[in-house]
Amino acid sequence: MSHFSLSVRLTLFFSFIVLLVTTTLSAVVFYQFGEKINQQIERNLTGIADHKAAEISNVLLFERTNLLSWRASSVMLDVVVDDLDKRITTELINLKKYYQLQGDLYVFNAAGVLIASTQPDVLKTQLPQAWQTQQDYALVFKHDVPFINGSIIAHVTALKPPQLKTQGYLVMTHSWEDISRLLAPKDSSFALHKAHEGNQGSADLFTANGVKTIEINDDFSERPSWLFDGISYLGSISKSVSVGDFSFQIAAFMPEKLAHQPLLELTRNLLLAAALVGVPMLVLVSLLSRLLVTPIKKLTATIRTIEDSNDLSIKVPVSGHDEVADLGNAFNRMTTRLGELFNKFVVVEKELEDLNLSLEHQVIDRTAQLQDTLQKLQSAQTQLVQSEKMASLGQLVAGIAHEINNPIGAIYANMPPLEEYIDDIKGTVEFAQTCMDEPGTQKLNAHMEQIDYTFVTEDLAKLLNSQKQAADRIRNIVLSLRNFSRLDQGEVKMVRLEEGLDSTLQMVHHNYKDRITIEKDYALNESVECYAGELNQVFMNILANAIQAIPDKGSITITTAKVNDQAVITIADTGTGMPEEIRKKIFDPFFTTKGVGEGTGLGLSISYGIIEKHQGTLTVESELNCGTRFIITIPLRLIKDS
Amino acid sequence: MKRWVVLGLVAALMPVSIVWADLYIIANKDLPAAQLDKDDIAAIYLLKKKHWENGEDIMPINLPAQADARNRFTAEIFDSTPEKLGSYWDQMLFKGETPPVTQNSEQAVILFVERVKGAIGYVETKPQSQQIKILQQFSSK
Repeated sequence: MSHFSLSVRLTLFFSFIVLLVTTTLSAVVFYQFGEKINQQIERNLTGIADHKAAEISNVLLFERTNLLSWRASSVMLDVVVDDLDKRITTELINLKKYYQLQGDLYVFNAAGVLIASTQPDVLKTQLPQAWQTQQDYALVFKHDVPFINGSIIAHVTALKPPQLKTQGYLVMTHSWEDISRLLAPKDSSFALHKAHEGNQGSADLFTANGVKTIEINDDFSERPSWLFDGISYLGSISKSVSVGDFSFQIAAFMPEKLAHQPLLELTRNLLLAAALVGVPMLVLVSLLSRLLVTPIKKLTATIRTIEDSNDLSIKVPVSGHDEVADLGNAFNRMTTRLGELFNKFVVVEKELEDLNLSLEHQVIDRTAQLQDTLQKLQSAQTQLVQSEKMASLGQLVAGIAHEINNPIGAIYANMPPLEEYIDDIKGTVEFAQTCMDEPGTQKLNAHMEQIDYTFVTEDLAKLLNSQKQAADRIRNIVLSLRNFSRLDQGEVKMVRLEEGLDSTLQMVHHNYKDRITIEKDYALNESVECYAGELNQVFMNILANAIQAIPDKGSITITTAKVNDQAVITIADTGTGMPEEIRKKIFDPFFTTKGVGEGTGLGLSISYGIIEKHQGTLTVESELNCGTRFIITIPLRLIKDS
Repeated sequence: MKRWVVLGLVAALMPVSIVWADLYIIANKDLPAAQLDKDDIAAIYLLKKKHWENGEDIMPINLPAQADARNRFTAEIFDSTPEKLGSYWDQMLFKGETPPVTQNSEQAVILFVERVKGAIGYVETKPQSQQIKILQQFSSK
């Protein structure tokens, strides 16, 4: 119900009420009047029956009264003389004519012989059995006598002059056909019923379809309806009416349909009246409710518009001064207030949003700065540690190099005279051979053969050469050590980068030796202003990684070049390469692919820091299973920080 | 007025036209009485004597007013006219007495007396019936 509109609900409600009232009224009226009408019908029918009974009894009583008065006529005494003078006959004919009698009059003498009659040619007929009576008067109900055509009713009265016994009978007949005419069906059908002891028996019912015999019992009035020829009838029976000793009742029957006609008409009229009242009322209610609901609908529509458009300046149209108008006014005031508040709210929200945004930016900036600072700090710390380490290592290496340099210098310096001396010894031996006699020569030769002199001399030269080379290498290593450690670390120097690269290679030579071929393509050949020691550290880190990346045999290609005042050094290996994820992280501090304790994870991070310090770039390209290439770019001249 | 004229006329004409015959007073033979004198007859017809000696009701029979026999009878018994007697009977009728039964013809009177035991009548013709006895006879003059 609640999802119907108010007007529909109102209309439905009033429809319901109208319907309820109409129905209740109809029911009450129908019940009350139905009862009344039924009683009325019953009464009516009884009335009709009584009336009809009265009508018939009037006819019969009139006849009886007449007959009894006629009987007293002195003429009737002529029955004693068998109507010798035809006075009775004349009288009867006169009476019949005068009273326009429908039936005939008959006078029988005491012997039961017909002596006078209005019916011709029946004289001398014997008194019929049906008319024989001991009573003064008798009404003989529907019967037949031999000399009369058709059924009749007969009044039989004894002719009994005063002081005499019965001298004969006066009979008046009334044709049943005439009685039938009185009982002919119109709206109602009638049955004449001779009242018996116990009131049971048959009766002629006169219906539109002819006469039929029906049974009438004591319980007549209890029977609700009767069915003749397929039509239902209501029946009622009159009071018992007596004519002399003869009593009869009239039953009246009315078709139920006809009887209930008034009730049906009443119902129809009621419904018509209900419709006549109900329909305009419903129209009125519908209009009224629409009138009531329309402002509310307008209000709702406006609210919806405001909802959809978010425009609080829209106003509800207000007309009249009723409650709905008050509501509209109140709503308008509310929207105005809301609009003001909303505008304030929007301004505040905007401010807040801006503030939030700037704060967020600040936080992001600060965070970035902090992160940067932290990274720098970490890097600086690591570098500091490393520098310190390298510094002490450098000092140590420098010390060792210096200390080794002197003996090596001695060895190195002693080599030429040693060669000279050996050559001298060899010359001496050859001289001795020439100088000696045969046995001495033979002895010497035997001894020389014993010690395998030829081999020794040859091998001695080789040994010396080897010695010389070893001493050379020691000298180179020491030089490299010195170069690498550079006690001049913190200072900017003009150095040739190729030297640094070579020194570094020398340092790690033992790690690759025959396994890896080093291909060099030095195209720079120019001094570069830089922190040489730190750059060497970078080369060291990259080369160490490259060597480690080549598991078996391979090559490392080192190139230097000058590109637009920039020195570009590339170190490419044919190693295993690395996947993208690792490549992204290799400059992160403490990132390592090696096991715990094997690497610090700082090498490349520090290298990155060093190149950054030179205002240069360190980039890496790598392809899995093909190799890795580091590209170092630094300016030829250091750009001084302000 | 008219009535008086008619009555007067009848009275004037009567002595001239009347031819007197015998008059017989008759009754049913079963009656105990054998004879009745004039006074008895008068008492009966004046409705003063109503029962025979055996207790039976007396039923006097009359003839129509214009009948000769009635004239004779009235004259003979009451020395009066049928009109006078008629008005007497009318008075008696008002008093609740039944005037004598009128029969149209002498035959009817005879038959009546034959059939009704207590009946008494008068006729000019002498009845032949065995059932009837003559109680009195007035000869013609």
